[in-house]
Amino acid sequence: MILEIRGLTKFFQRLAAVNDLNFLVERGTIKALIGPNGAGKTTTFNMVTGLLTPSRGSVFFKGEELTRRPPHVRAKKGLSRTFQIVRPFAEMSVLENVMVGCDMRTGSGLFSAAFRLPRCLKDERKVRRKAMEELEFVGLAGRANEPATSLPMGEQRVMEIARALASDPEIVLFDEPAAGLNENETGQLAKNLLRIKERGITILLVEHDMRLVMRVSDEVVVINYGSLIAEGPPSEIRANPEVITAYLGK
Amino acid sequence: MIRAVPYLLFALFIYLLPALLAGSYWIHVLVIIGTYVIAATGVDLVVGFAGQLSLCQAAFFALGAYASAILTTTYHVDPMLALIIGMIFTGLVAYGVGAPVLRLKGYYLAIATLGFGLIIQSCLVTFASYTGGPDGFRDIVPLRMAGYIFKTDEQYYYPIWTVAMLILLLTRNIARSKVGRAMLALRGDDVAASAMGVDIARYKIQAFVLSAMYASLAGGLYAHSNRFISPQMADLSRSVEMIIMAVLGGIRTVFGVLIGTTIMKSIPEVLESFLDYQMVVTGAILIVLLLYMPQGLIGVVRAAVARLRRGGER
Repeated sequence: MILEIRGLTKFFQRLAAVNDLNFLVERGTIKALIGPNGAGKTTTFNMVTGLLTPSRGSVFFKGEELTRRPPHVRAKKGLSRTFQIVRPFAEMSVLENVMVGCDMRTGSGLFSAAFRLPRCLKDERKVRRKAMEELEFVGLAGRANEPATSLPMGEQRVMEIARALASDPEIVLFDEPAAGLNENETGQLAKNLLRIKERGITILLVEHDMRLVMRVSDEVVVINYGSLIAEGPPSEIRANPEVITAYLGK
Repeated sequence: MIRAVPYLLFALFIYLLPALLAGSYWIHVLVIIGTYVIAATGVDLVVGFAGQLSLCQAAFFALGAYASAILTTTYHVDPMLALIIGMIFTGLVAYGVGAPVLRLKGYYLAIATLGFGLIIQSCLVTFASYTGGPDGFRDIVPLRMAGYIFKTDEQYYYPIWTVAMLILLLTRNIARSKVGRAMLALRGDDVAASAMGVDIARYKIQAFVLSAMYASLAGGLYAHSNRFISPQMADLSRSVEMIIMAVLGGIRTVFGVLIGTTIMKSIPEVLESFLDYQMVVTGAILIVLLLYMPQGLIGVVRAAVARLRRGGER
């Protein structure tokens, strides 16, 4: 198991947004986390990536507890993510945005940068090449030198995928990647998710778009009111009466 | 290699300038500009790249100046060594202050650094037995290098501008590396930067400490070349002035810092009779800058060029 969520609980005031949530993510699979609005998906997501600290429970990544480690440490360990509302780095090109994702994999620092020592130049070439590879992978290489914020929203999403992949992560968490995309773009996203899986990278997908979830996921976790109500392959989930009730109401 | 041409031409220009201005008062002004370029480059790093609004650059400048003055004049330490000790001391102070304070954001950080500047200024006034108090520190030992004593502005011009250009070069290198990208990323979006593995606390501290060390070096050089310093130099108005130096020309560009500093240090010389209104002029520049040209003068020129090009294509 690459990711283990154990008894994860988060209180806001006295309200439990997530309540004693347990699930596992198997290496090399695509797992989807779904649920109606306000079910606690984003809260869970933020606790896994380190933006929120759980009230109780723990997050294990590759057998190591990361519950209270800051986001950049989780990123270094191989846990990357994209954002629901795109967060490009302003004043930087698309390529530079993706290079930031890769930068943590190089060792040279301030001193070698200031004097442009061979170590730094070698790292620069390596990072640039890797970033370019990932842009080619997602089909955005032609936009490499444009300012990131000048891209349309759909392409900024794609850039974020390249940025997340640039660090050679072992798991990538996608926070509602299809939100705001048209049908065509969603189809492209589904293809990209499967291609990322082919590279052996595990995916945890938080998503509203049921068709996308059913198409790409190996396993689905359904939560409602912060608790798990169903877990299993898409075919089972689709037929689960409790899930249907949660989504459609009684 | 072609990209280096403007920089090389600029260096040549700087080294030939004294020949054109021999005996002129402007040599003195240029020495001052050179020292402030060093300090303003630090501001560019912290404010321009890392996006942390720090209002205590002048305090670090004063720390460097007083460290050099006290070490060389009171304790007879070699001036070159004193400059280095001053930089290390100021860097440590910046680390001590920055570690807690850089957790604050936006206006809170600005106010905290402003408070630190006030503390430094009042310390310089209070510990009069070391600093000379409100009257300032007089008769500072001149710079000495391998037995050669620097006395006139012409003699200070070359070492100070050499250091200034070196600092600009190193900072440009840093800006175009992983470190510069990390700083720019955390300025743009610290949540996303952190998620992409950028240790934001570390890069904020790096920018802050490095910029404080630049200010300290500038302050030390100022103390030796001017031979008189006073607590006034740690004043908030001076920190604001340094921010304008970094922003006016064009933030995050080598030539922007040079242009901004030159303008800010030339105004009082050109408008001598306006000396009483200097704060008014500085304030007016700041307002115009923030409202009409956030990208600075270079930004205005670039926009104009882009407009012309578009016009030409039509």
